[in-house]
Amino acid sequence: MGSYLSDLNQWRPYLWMGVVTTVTVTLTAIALALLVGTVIASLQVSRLRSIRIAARIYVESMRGIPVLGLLFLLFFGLPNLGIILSPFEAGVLGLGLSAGAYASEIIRAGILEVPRGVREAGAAIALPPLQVASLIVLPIALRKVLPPLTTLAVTVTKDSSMVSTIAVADLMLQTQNIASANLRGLEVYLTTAAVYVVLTIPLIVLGWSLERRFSYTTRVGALMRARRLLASAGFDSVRASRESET
Amino acid sequence: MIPWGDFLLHFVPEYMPRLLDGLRVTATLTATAFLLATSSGFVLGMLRREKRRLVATPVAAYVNGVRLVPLLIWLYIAYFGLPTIGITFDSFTAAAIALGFYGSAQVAEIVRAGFEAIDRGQSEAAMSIGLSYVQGVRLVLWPQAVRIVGVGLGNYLIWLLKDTALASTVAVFELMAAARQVVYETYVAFQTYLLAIVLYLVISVTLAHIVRNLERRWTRYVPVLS
Repeated sequence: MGSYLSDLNQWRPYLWMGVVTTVTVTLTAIALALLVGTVIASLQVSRLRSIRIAARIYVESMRGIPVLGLLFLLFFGLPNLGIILSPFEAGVLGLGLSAGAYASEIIRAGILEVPRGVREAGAAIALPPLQVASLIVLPIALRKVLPPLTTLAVTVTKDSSMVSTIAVADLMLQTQNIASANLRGLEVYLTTAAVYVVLTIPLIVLGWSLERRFSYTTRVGALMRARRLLASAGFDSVRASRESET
Repeated sequence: MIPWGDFLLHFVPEYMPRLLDGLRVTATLTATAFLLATSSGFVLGMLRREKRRLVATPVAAYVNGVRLVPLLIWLYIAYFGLPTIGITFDSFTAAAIALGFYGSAQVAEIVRAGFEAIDRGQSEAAMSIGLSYVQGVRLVLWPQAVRIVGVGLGNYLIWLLKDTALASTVAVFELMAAARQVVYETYVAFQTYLLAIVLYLVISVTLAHIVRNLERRWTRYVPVLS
């Protein structure tokens, strides 16, 4: 055990470099996934059938292929078309495009969660569309969307280990290097396993607390808040109905 | 990159058999890991429902611990890690064990979710008419849970199929590895990987279609899902 600790001390700088890369890749990929997810989700609720179908095809095909295959296609395949990506770019792009498909499903569910009447009420008091979206739709949808997004973030963190196969020097690749330099593979890999658990725990705790905060208030609470907002904007009948409730 | 006409007329007929050989290994690996994961995951899922702390806590720690670590780590532990303490597997066995191990935690959660979807009154009713625990599970709870669990397992199978691609990193010659081999020989990277991906896509979309139909038929009357 003593020798394990002294070895760990030797590995630490390499593992730390790996952690920094893994966190960078993961956060960038999540940002990209949110962007892709939002765009695809809004296409999925589009009025045009052809746009909805195109978005649907994107989601279904991203969900049907292994992330590893996508990474290989982007990193080894695209140079054939004259597009050369660095390992980091290909890794982030692959993880982000794939997670974006899952994010779009989550975001779409959030958009559909908002009752049509609430939106119409916003329009009825002459709020501009942008304010209907930002003041009414978004606060309600976020409650539905945030907890599953933390789960997706955990998946992206774990999946980011795949970028080691296209030579991104992340935690996984650093671990492989350490393991191949000595005969203590099992200890090195178990150490890294523990590091990944530590990396994902903040996301999981965040997910739990969001869930606890939002779950029982999702419908009633959000509607009440939207009503309060409409009432304060001078929508009398809402205020009247709210007062009669209380 | 070769012209698409040449690709379709010459490249695909010549190299498709190689990819299909890989696909056969992918299918075998998927099936083996699925059996390992479902059999152990079912037991774990039942233990996870246990109320006694002594059982529930270690099982919960196992299930959550296994799921939080990337599959790639488990594959490396099985293939590169265990030999350092004298346990050696060939690559296929190591991959099947790692996939099955990782999957057992996922299946455990599916099984638990399936039973949790059943109204509490059902197990109380089973007890109150004098059924033993095993009888209650077998005759009352399981027939109701099986449909939800079945749909969950169907979705898990699709995940597993995609996850087997990672076995190429521990020298299993499955579809992804076969594609890589073809790329090394021909330098046609984009189209070969695209072809491999399309093969995955065709299978997983077909499976997803079947699962969705089962889901529609089986869980129509399940209160929490409808």
